[in-house]
Amino acid sequence: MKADKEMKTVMTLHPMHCGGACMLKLHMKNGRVCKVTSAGDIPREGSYVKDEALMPIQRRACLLGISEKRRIYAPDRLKYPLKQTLERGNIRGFKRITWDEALDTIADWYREMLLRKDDLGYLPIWDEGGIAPYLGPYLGRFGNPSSGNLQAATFASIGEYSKLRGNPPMDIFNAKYIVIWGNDSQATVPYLAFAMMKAKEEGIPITVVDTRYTDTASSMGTGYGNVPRYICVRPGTDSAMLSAMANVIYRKDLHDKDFLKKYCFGFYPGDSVISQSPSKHPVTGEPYVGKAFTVPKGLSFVEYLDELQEEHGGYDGVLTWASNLTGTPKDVIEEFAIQYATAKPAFICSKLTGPQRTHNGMYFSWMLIALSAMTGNITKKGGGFGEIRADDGYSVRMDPEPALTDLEANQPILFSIFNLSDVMLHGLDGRTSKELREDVLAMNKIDLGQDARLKMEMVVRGAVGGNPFNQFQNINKRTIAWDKLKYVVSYERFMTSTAAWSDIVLPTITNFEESSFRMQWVSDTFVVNGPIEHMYEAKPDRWINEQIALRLGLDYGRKNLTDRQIMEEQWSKAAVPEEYKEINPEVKLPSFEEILETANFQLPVPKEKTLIQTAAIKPGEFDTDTGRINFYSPYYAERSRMVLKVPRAQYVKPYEGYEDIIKDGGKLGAKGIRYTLQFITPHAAQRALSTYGNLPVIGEQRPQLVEMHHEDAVARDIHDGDLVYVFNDYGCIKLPVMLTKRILPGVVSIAQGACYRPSTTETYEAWFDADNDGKPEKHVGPVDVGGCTNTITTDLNSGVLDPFFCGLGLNAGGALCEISLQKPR
Amino acid sequence: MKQWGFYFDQTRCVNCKACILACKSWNEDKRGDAAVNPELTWLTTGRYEEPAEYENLAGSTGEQNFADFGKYHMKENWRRVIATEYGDIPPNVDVLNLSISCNHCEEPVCVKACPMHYIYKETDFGIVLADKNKTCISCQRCRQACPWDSPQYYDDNIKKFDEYDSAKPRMTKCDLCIDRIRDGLKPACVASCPMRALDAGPMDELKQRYPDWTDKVENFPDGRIPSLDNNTKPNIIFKKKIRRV
Ligand code: SF4
Ligand code: SF4
Ligand code: SF4
Ligand code: SF4
Repeated sequence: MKADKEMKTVMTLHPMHCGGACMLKLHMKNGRVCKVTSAGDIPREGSYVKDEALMPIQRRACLLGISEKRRIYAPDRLKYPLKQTLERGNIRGFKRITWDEALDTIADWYREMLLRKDDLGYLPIWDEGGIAPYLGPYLGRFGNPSSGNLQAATFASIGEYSKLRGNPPMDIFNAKYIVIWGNDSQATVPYLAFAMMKAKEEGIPITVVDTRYTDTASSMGTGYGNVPRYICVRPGTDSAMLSAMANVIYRKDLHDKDFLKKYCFGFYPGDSVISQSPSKHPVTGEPYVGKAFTVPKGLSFVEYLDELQEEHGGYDGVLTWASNLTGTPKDVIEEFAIQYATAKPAFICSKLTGPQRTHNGMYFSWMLIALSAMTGNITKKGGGFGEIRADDGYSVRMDPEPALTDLEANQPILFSIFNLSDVMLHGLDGRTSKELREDVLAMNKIDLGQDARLKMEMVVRGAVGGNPFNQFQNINKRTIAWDKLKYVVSYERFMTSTAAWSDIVLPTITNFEESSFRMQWVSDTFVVNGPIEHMYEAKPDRWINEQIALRLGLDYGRKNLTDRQIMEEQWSKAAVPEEYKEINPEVKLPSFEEILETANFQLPVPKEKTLIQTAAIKPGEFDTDTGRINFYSPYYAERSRMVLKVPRAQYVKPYEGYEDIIKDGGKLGAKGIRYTLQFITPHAAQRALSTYGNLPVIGEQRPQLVEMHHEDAVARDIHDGDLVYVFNDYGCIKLPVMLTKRILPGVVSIAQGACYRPSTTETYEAWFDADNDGKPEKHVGPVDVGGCTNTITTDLNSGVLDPFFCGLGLNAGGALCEISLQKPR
Repeated sequence: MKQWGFYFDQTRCVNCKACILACKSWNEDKRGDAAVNPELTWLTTGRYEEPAEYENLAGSTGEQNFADFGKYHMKENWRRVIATEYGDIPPNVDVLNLSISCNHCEEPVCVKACPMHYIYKETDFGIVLADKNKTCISCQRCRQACPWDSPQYYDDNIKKFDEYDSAKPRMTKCDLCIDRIRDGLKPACVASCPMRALDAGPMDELKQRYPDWTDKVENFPDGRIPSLDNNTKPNIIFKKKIRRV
């Protein structure tokens, strides 16, 4: 047997929103992808050194990338425009229509909304990837489910996350001690997992902190001195552990006093500073420089530590408190704090992780920054502020693709994405109508008047717009809210829940059907080589928008330029940045033909020369209001938009969680049932958010299930593989259970991203507030048999509800539920 | 002949399952139901069978029809990853992973067990192969003889097929990607592993490259151990992860 010689290979980026940046090698024949391998598929002879290298690294793909053929040619790909003829959500109601019929109908809907604009002052369209931005002010989301709470923490304390992203992956090799906090990178970022493994093999000690004993915990953890290899923390209590650690560091005098005095604000009582900040007030636009700030009495970090000692009975009492909450022994917390503070430098790497995606997640990220500041790690090589960035910091400079139009995009009116259903139902997103009116007036110059409310009547979601029906909290409320919408349009590749709840669904091509340059988070230049023809009747998003724009008389579109022409033009002006030439003077840009062939050009940075952005900032010139690294945020205090009200780094109790279990053995819901289990909703290797959930080849290897400890199962007479009901006031999911030792008793885990699928036979009585009277009421709806975690999550904001910067986050872990073998009432 | 085999670094494996999917991606056309699967005809004819219209793919209950969509991929798990948990309650736990396919044994008991001489050990690399020119009667004796489930069927419920049914699952197994290694490439699973936990090559070369190899690891929950003292003499060596609980 010999390999098929007619097969040609094409290298391409796997352009996915997973967090990875991987290369695929497509083996093509007759214009089709026959087989897929990845960057490691090079001749065997002498490959060992290249296989093991980090500079450059082979960007090997995960199971999803390797299985792409099954997604491109999946039988359930959408092939032609569909129109819903029955009620929304019923996929049997979809009928094929022509492109002309679909586009004409959508253009008519836009026209109707343009008339509404005359009444409202804006288009009542929530647009994610359509053409509303060129028709007038429209509705857009704010809030970031992956990183919103982290962004809230950095904005308060060190500046915008988009500018400061943490120390680069190679910098872990400069650390004396690595702490991987809540980060299971093997599931989402394969190249990072490999780098961590290499660091471990070099002998750098590692401790992994996570609620679950993930494969990262199992394979990376080594322990350090008396600190164990793995520390297990209950969901939502990470910041309590960090607070107790801060107390240990402070009381044992292990903090870096010079650094705190020179760089920080709000650590010591009565701290004051005249700002030398380069930034401006986000709302008024006034520069901060020259403004005086003083931390109010009682609100400095030291006073917080004093408060903790007073409340819990001294040094030991604080450890006991944190130990009771987190489930970690006192001596482990103490030893952990000491080793972290004395390792110098110590690198905590969290990466948009679970503890951050909780109701008090902003305080988790802020406490990581606080600890990094107390120890001076924050500006050090091998240290950082708790986050690891994806890239090395230097990228080829290249023009963006030519704009599709000269028309100026309108500023959207922003609403909290986490209160999507409330906006649809009542026009409010957690802000009062007074706050909403002020914000919109300041940002959009539109006066919504007395009792300001937003009207959302149409939703347009391009393929870039995610799967919002599925991916935000409280699905049962959303099915009610969605009914209020007049028109819903989706551009999609598969029948996701959002597509199923649309009136018209337009088929779009995959990333293997068009070509472009990409950066994909890391600093490499990548090429998406799309070697296959557009399949079926599927079209690119931009073509769809062009056709609608044409019908509405807008000048929009690509003007007959091919992918190749655009890329050639971009590459002709591409250049390696000057700063990088200091790292590698030999560096040479590949030719256009070469970059198309390799599809990947790396600018690696050795560990001696890693880019530490925080080190380049002079003390006092951080991008915060005070110009310092804040333990207390004057801007947050002044605006008063924090969901949990506290403008300081510290532990704050979430709306529900383990404290309810300690106190009353669980929380009595509106329905009258006591919920005694915490749930978490981690990212899983089997999906990139909700993508790939429909592929049986993946599902067979990694089925959607709820993970539960044997102890909890015995108490409920549940056996491995049973179909169980997971429920709380918001809804009920029916799915198989997997019993495991990897998770704490009292905590269960369901991977996020599975698509909601209403049962056709079973219903559940849920209790939540959809009529906006502040009280939950009864709603009977179907049981979810798809395993969508948002069936049981609450649509509460977390972080900071302020549209003038991004600091609004997802609260998806640590809340309560119950599990039973019998269907709950 | 140089006998080929595998190296598996248990300390590196994170149970990501990329190796399993890489094997399926590369070897899809060698699957047991290839002949009865119209979707595969494009590999030979260049024509892709476009599956049915969307409405027909929605199951009768309106749910997406997983079982129906499932016929398009390779079912056999030529490579398998087994995770075994130890300990009781976190943090007092540990996990050992084992990624295993066929060990192309020195004394392949599968070959002896087969009444149809369907399995043989080829002589270039010592790969244990299914002989497509012979007939497999799906008796599963090879599967029962092999200590590690390496002989695979696209459907394990063989009894439900009629004796002369052309769709009756015939045995298929890992062929060490013989097509790739003849071309100087690594097996698909080896080339894919994001953690570089797998390697394959002539056994003497592997032993040289990984001087701290051992021939035994703990793995299967029921105590099966692929080890050179096993009566089949499997060609697989390991870097062993020391269990910590
Ligand atoms: S691909 Fe590598 S790390 Fe992943 S399961 Fe297989 S052997 Fe383990
Ligand atoms: S591992 Fe099993 S199937 Fe493979 S050669 Fe050995 S006995 Fe035969
Ligand atoms: S199942 Fe097929 S290959 Fe296996 S022993 Fe029986 S006839 Fe031989
Ligand atoms: S060597 Fe080839 S056939 Fe065998 S398990 Fe690996 S990928 Fe599959």
